Amino acid sequence: MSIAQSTSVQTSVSQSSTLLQTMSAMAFGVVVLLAVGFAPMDAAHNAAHDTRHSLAFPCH
Amino acid sequence: MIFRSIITNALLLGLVTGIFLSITQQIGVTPIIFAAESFEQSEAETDTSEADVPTTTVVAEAPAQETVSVEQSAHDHSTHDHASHDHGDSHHDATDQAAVAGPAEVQSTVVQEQVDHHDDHGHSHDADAWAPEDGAERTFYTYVSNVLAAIGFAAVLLALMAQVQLQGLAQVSIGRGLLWGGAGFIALFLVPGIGLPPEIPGIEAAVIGSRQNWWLLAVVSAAAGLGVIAFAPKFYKAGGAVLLALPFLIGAPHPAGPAFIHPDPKVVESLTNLHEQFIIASGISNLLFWLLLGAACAWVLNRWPLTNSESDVVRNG
Repeated sequence: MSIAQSTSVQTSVSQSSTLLQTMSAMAFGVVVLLAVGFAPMDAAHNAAHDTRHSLAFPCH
Repeated sequence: MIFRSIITNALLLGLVTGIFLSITQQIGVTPIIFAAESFEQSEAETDTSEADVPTTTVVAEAPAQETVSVEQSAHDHSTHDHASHDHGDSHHDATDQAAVAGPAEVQSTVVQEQVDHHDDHGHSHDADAWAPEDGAERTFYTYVSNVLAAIGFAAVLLALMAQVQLQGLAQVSIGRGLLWGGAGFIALFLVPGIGLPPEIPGIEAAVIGSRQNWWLLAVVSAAAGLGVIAFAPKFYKAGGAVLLALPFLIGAPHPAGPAFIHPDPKVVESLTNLHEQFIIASGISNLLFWLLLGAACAWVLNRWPLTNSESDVVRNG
C-alpha cells in the first residue's frame, strides 16, 4: 500500500517535472526566435534582415 | 535532465541545420533580395538627382550583385523621369511624386527633404543605425541569424517531440520526424505565407505591428490545429481544422494600394516577377530546412535525451 502510494507520488512528480522542463526548453526556443525575428531595434533588424525575409517573418 | 539535453541538442542541431538553411538561401533566395534592393537604390538615385544633389554616395551604396537587366531598367527609369518631371520647384516636385506614389506616401514625401526619401524604403529604418556591410559581413550576420533561428526552432520541436513521446502519445521515429518537419513548414511558413506572402524589399505592406500580430496568431493557431488533428481523439479533430482556419476568418492585414509603387511600370513588372521567384525559392529553402530539422530532431531524440527519464517513467508507471 505504502509502496504503491509512494510510487504514484514519484510518478506524478516525475511527470510534472518533465512537463516543466520541456516547456522551459520550448520557452527558450520561443525567446530566441522572437529575438531573431521580431526584435525592433534597428541594429538587430539589419543584422537579421535577410533571415527575416527568407523565413517569411514580417519585415520593415 | 531533459531540459539540458534539449538545449544542448538544440544548439548542435541549430548549428548544423542553420548552416544548411543558409546555404540553400545563398543559392536561391538572397540573390533575389539583393536584386530587389538594387531597385530601391535606383529609385533613391533618381530621387536625389531630381533634387540636384550629388549622387556619388548613393551610387557607392548600390549592391555589387546588381545584374545587367537591373542596370538596364534603372537606366530606363532615370531617363524616363528626367524627361517627364519638373526640376524647378521642389514642393511641386514632391506633390507630383506623391500623386504617383499614393496617399500613404504623401505625408513623408512632403514633410521630408527629397534627399531623405530613399530612407522610407531602404532596409534600414534609421540611416544612422548600424548595418552589416554588403558582402562577407552581411553574409556572416545572415548565417548567425539563421543558426540562431534554427536553434529556436530545434528547441521548440525537440521539446514538443519529447513531451509527446514521454506521454506515450506517439513514438517519434525518423519517418515521423519528417512529418513533424512538414508540420513545422506548414505552421511556420505555408499558413502564415498564405495570408502574408514572403516579402521582398520594396514591397508595400501594412503596418509592421499588425502584420506581426497576425503572423503570430497564424503560426500559433496552425501549430495548435495540426497538433489537435494529429493527437486529439477523433471527436475533437474538427476543432483542429477550425484552428487552422481561424486566422483567415480574421483576415491578414494588407494595404489598399498596389504591391509596388515604383513610378516605372517596367520596374514594377520586374519586381513582381522577382516576388514570384522569391515565394518559390524561399518556399523550397524552408521546406528542405524543415524536413531536415524534423528528421534530425527525431534521430537525436531517440539517441539519448530521454533515456534516463523515460526509463524512470516506465519503471514507476
